[in-house]
Amino acid sequence: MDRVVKAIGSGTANVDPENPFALVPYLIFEAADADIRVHLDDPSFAPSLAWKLRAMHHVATGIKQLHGADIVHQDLKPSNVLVFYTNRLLSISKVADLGRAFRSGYPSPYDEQLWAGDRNYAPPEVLYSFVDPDWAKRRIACDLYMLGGLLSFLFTQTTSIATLLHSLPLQFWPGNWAGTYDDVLPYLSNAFSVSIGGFAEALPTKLRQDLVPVFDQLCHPDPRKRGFPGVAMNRNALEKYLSKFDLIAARAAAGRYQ
Amino acid sequence: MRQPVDTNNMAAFLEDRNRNVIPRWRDFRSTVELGELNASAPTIDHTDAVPDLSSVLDDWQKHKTVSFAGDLISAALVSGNVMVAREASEFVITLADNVSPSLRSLARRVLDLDSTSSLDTGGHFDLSNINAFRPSPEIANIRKRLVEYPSNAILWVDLAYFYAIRGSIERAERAIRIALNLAPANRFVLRSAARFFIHRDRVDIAHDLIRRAPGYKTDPWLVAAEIAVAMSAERTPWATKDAFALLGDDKFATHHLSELSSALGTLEFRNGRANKAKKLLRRSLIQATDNSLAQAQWISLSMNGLSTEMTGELSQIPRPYEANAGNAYVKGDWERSLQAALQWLEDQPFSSRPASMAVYLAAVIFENFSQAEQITNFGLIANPREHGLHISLAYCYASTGRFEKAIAELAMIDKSTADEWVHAAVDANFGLVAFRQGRSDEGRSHYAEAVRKAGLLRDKRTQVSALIHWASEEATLHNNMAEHLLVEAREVAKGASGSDIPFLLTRLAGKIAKENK
Repeated sequence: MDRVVKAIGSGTANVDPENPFALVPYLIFEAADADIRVHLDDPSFAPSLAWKLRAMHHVATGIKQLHGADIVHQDLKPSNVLVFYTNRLLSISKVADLGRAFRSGYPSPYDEQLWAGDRNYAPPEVLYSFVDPDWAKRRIACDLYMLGGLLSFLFTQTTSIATLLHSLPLQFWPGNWAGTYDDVLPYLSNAFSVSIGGFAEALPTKLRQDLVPVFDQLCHPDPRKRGFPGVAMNRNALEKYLSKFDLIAARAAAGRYQ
Repeated sequence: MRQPVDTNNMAAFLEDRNRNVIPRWRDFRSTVELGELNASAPTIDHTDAVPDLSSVLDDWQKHKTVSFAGDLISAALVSGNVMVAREASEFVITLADNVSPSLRSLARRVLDLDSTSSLDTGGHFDLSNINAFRPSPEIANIRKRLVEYPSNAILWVDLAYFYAIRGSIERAERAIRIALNLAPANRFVLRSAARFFIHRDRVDIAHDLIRRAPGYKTDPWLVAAEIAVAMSAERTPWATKDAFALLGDDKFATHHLSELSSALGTLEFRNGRANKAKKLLRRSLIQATDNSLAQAQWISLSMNGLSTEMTGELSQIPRPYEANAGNAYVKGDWERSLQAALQWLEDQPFSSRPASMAVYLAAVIFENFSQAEQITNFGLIANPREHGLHISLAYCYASTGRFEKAIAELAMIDKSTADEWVHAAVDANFGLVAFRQGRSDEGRSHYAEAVRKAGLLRDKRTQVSALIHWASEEATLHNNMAEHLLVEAREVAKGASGSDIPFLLTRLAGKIAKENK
C-alpha cells in the first residue's frame, strides 16, 4: 500500500502525570511535507497539469489498494491527501486518515451510520438518505464520487457536491425535498450537467475530451450509473481509472495538452 | 361564455366550451420559480448531524490561500452555513480571473451577488425578436450542453419548448419523447409533454402518457393534469376518486392542491353540479396558480358568486396574465386587455390562444393593423396551421389595401379540415376585399353568405359581427343599406354575447352618422 499513508508506530501516552488512568492511545504516521491544498498554492512550486494528473493517479492507486484489502475509505477529501517530496521535482501523493474507513468483516464504531465521513464532501445520495442495499456497491460508489470530488478540486478549487448543489434550485436540496431519490434525480442530473460545464471550462481545451468523461463517470448523481461503463461496482471498480489517469498524466507530461 | 369571434377576424381566443386547467408549459427555470415542482408533501430531514466546519475554517484562517478558500466555500455551501465563508469569498472575488469560473460563481453566491428572479416575464416582449429563420441562442446553448450530457431529461424538455416556440414541431416532439424515455415519471417532464401533445393536436397521447405514468395518482399536480387532459380529450378521467382522496388528505400544502381543485371544479361544472363546482373552484383560488385563476375567471362568466377580482391574495399570484386579459375584456377595458394578452403571449409564446386574443383586440378594437400583423406573424411561427391566424392576417392585409396578399392568405386555408365558422369567416373576408376593390355587389354577396352560414350554425355572435363589418363597408358608399344592417345587427346582438359587441355597434352607429352628414 505505497499510496496510503503508513502508520509507523502506536502506543498510549499519559497526558496527566497526576492521573495514572489518563491514557490516550496514539498512532504515528510517516511525516508528510504538506497536504495537497498547501502544495497547490505554493507559489514556489506552481503545480503543473501533469503534476495534478499524476497526483490523481497516485490517489486513485491508494484507493484501489484499499479496495483490494476490502477497505473503503469513505472520507476522501483534499485535507486527507498528503504530499511527500522526494525532491523538488518529484513528489508522491498519498491517501491519509482511515479514521472513517470500513472494512468488511471488521466491526467499527461507524458501521451503523449511513455515512461515516464528512457530509460536506459526501455524494448526493447520502444527503438524500438513499441507500443501496448492497453495502459494497454503496460504499465503493461513495469512494468513486469522492475521488471525482478531488478531481474537481484540483482543477476548480471547488468540490463536486458543492458545484452540484450550487446548480440545483433550492426546492430540490436535501433539506427541502420530500420525494424519493429517483424523483429528484432528473433535477440532479440537470444540475450536474451545469457543473460538468464548469469543470470543463477550467481545463485546457485539448484535455477536455479525455478528462470530462472521467469526471462525469465518477460524479454521476445516480450511484447505479457511476463508474467506468460496463465495469461492476466491486473492488476492481477503479482499475480502468488507474490506466486512464496514468495515460493522461503521461500525455500531459509530454505536452500533448498545451 | 360565448366565443368572442369576429367574422372578419375569427379570433377564437377564449375557447367556448373547452377551457380546462391544462398544465402550463414554461421553461424549467420559470416553472421552478413558480413553485410548481416543489415537493408536495412535507419535507424529510435527511441530516443526522450538523456538519462541522471548524476544521476547514481553521485551515482557511491559518493559510488564507485560494485552495483553502475553495475548500471552505464548498463545504460551507453544502452545509448551508455560508456566513462562515464570507471572508474567503471576498478574497476569491479579489482574485478575479485567477480562479476557476466555478469557484468565482460559488463565491458570488455566498456574497449574494447574483440573485435574480423570473417570477414575472418582464413585460418587455419584443415580438420581432423571435424569428423562425434567425438562429436561436437558447437552442444553441441547450444543444451544446446536451452534447456533453445527453441524459438530462430536463434539458430535453427545454429544448422541445424552444423548438415549439419556433414552430419546429417535429424536432420538439423528438426532444419530448427522449425526455419521456429518460424520466417517464417526472412531474415537469410529464406535464410539459402533456401540454406539448395538446399543442400538437394529439390530446389522446397527452392523456395516455399521464395515466400510464407510474405513481401519478399520488401527485396532485399529475392527477390534476390527468383530469383536465381527459376532459379535453372527451374521455372519462381515470383518477377522479383518487383526486378527491388527495384533496381530503391534509398532507399536502394548499398551493399543491390548487389545480387539482380547479380540475375537479371544472368536472363538476360540466356535470351540472354548480354548488359543488363553486365550492371546489373557490378552494382552487387559495394559494392559486395563474392557471387555476384563469380557469375560475372563465367559469365565473357562466356562474354567479365566483369572484376573480384581483384583490387580496389573488393580486399576489405571479403571471396572472390570462385572467387579467379576460377580466379586462369583460369590462371593456381594451387597453388593459391587450396589454395582458401580450404578456400572456410572452409567457406562453407557443400557444395560439393569447396570440388570437391579442390580434383580435389590436385589429378589430384598436384597428392597429400593423401591430395586429406583427402579432399574427409571431403566432403563426408556432401555429402555422391555425386557421384563425391566417384569417386575421388576411383581414389585416385587406384592411390596408393589400388585396392580393389577403386573397393568397385566404387561399392557404384548407376548408376541408376547418371548423364550420371558418367557412363563414372566409366568406366575410372575401366580402371585405371585394368592397375595398369597388366590387360592391360581389362584396354583398359574400357577406350575405357569411351571415347565412353563421345563422345556420345558430352562431349569433358570428352573425352580428358579419353584419357589423358589412354595414361598415356600406356606410362608406353612402346608401341606406348600412342603417338597415345596423338595425338587423342590433336585433341579432340581443342573443349574442361579448362585451365588445355593444362597443362595435356604437362605433358603427357613429361611423354611419358621420358618413351621412
